[in-house]
Amino acid sequence: MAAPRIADEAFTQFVAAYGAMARRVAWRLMGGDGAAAEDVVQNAFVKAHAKFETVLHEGAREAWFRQVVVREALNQLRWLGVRRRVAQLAGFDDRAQPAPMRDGGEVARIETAVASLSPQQRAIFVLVHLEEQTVAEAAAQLGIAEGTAKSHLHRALTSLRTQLEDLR
Amino acid sequence: MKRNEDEAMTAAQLRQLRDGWQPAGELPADYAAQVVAVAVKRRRRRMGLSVLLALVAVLPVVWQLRQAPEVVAETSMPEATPMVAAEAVAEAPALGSATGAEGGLLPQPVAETGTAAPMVEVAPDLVAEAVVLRPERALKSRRSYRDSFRELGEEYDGLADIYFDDAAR
Repeated sequence: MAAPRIADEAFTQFVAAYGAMARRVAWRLMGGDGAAAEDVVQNAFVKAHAKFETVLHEGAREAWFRQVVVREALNQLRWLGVRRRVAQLAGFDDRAQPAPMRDGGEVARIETAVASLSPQQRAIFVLVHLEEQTVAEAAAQLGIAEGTAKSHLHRALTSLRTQLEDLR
Repeated sequence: MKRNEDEAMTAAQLRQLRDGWQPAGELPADYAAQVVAVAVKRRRRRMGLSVLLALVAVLPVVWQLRQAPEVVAETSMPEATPMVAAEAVAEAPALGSATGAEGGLLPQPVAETGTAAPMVEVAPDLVAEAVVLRPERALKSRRSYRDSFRELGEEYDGLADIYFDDAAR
């Protein structure tokens, strides 16, 4: 089968332009799990490659690709959750190693608190407060209603407040 | 930001998190090429799987056709080829002699009285039509024979099919 005709140069530029964003978003959504984030980024770029010539318009590329990364990360988190449950049933723990604490200080505690949120809560928190998206944009990327996104965000912040009470 | 500060963490903490909580390193320089290679590989694998599934779906049908082509022939109306007609004509005397008459024995439809009629001799022209004439005529006769049962409100038991089947061959 012949390789698909793509604008190689344009795709290379696309990867260069959005690679860092994809890595950062994936890494944060995966709670600092580097290997899982790499899988997410690769899958997202493979999907982007498949639609690069037909679907992606120059102006809409970033929003579309950010959505692909976010949804791919959520899929990966679901899959990891299933794997973890199966591993627990089978009698061995497959839990991913938490992100390494750099200094054992304040930021490390915040990282741990963020990583402990549920996937949806972490996703909405990361997108709104770390990636500086609006709640509406984040909800669209997650494929949920804006009200649902607000609810997840509220719960995420409540959980963080409880865990980080002594730091305030 | 104000609400976030009130509810969870200070703006400074959030800024620290935003700036500090990031993956180390960068994507390799040839990452685009790696992605293209993975994409092509996955597309090939998907294509191979599709072909395999199509083969799995088609093979039993092909196998069935190779095993019993006559089944397929019977399901469609046979064409009146010279060979079929000649065979039918060749078989006609044998059938006639088997029944001891020029015609043949066909089961009669059950009468309205509810008593089944015994095997009776039927008109020779019906058998002649079934056996000698063209197969599609024989099939038409089978239908009209069945219809006669239906007209009496009875179900055809299929006993006479052997005549019509012979004619159709």
